[in-house]
Amino acid sequence: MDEHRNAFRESFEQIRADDALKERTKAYLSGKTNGYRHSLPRPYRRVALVACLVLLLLAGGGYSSFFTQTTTISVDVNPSVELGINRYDRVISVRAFNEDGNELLATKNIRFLDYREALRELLGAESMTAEDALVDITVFGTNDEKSDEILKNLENSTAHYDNVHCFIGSSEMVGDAHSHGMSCGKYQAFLELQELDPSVTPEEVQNLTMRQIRDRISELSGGAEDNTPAGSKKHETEHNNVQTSSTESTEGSGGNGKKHRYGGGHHGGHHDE
Amino acid sequence: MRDEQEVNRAIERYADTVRRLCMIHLKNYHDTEDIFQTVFLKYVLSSVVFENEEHEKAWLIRVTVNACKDLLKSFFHSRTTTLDELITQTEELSPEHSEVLEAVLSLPAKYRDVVYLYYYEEYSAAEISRIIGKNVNTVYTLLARARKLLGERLGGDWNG
Repeated sequence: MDEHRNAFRESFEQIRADDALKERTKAYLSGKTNGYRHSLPRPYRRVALVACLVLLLLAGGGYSSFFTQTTTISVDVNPSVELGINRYDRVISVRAFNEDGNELLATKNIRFLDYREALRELLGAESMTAEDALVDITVFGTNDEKSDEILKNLENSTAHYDNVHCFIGSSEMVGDAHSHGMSCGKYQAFLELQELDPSVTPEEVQNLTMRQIRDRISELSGGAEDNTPAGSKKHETEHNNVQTSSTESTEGSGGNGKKHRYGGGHHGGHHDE
Repeated sequence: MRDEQEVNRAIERYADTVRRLCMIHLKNYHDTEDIFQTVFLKYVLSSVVFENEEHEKAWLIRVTVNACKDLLKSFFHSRTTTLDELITQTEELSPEHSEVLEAVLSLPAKYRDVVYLYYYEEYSAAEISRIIGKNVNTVYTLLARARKLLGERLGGDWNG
C-alpha cells in the first residue's frame, strides 16, 4: 500500500509550474492592476475612458465619427442581437430582435466595449451556452476591409470552438431584415432556407434557433434524394431553379454579397465556394 | 487588493499545486495559463483574510477547481476533453510515473480531485469535503470507488 502512495507522490511531484508560466502570470497581474495601484473600479473606468474619448473628439471636431456606426455584428443563437460598431472598434449601439435577445442585453452591459470583449461577455451568458447551441456571428458593413478585419479577428478568437460560425453578410439586406423584425444574421439564414423551401415564411423562422434553422437547411440540402417519392423530382428541380436565381440576385446586388463560411461540416454540401 | 509582494509569494508557494490541479482537469497548456491568470487575479482582488497558510491553500485549491470547471463549461471552450488529450501531457515522464498519472486521468472527472487531494496533498476526507464543498460521505464514497478503479488499473492494494 505504501509503495502505491509513494508512486503517487513521486508522479505528481514531477508536475511543476515552470518559471516562465509564473513570470507570465505575475506580469499579467501587474498589468491588470496597473502595477498594483488602487485604481477606479471598472465601470467607472469605462465611463472615464468614454468621457475622455468624447472630449478629445469634441475638441478635434470628431464627435460624429465616434458615434458613427461603420459595421454591424449580428449574433444569433436563440437570442438574436445586433451590435453597432464604430471605426474605433467599440460597440456604440445594441439591438435585440427577440425576447431572449432582450433579456440578454438587459443583463449584459456591453456598450463602449471593444467588440471582442463585448462578444466574450455575451457569449458567456447562460442563454448562449445551451447544450446544443449553434452560434452564428455575421459581420456586415459599408467598408469591406473593416468587415474582413473584424471577421478575421472573430474567427481567430473562436477558432477552436466547434459551434461558432462566422460569416460576412451582405449589407444590402439590412433593410429587409429589419422590416421583418429579424437580425441580419438570422435573415441571411432565412434566405438560405427559403432557397431550399420556398414556402417558408419569415414569421416561422423568427421563432427558430440557429441550430434548428441549420438543421433544416442541412436536411433539405443533404437529404434531397431521400424525399417522399411524390415530391422528390419536383423538389430537386425547384432546388436547382431557386439556386440559380439566388446566385443571380446576389451578384446583381452591388458586389457586397460574398459569403464566407467557416467550419460547420454538417452544412458543407450547400453553397460551396 | 493585495500587494505585489504578497501575491508573488503566493504564486511561488502555490503555483505547483495549481499546476497539478490543472493537469488533472485541462487538456492543454493554453487553458492552464488561463486558469493561472483567473485564479491569481481572484487572489489579488479577494478581500478574504486568511487565518493561516492552510486556510490560504485550501481557498486557492477550491478556486482552482471551480475555475477549471467553469472554463470547461464555458461557451468559449470546446465541449469535450478527451482522455488522449489529457494523456499527452504525461508523455515526457518516466513510464512508472506516466502510468500512475494516466490512471488518475482515466478516472471520471469527479474522482480526480478527491484522489489528488487525498493521496498527494494528504488531506483527510473531512478536510476535502470542506475544500471542494461536497458532503463528507460523498467524499468517502468517491474515494472508495476511485480506489477500486485505481486498483483494477494499477494492481495491488489501494486501501488507506
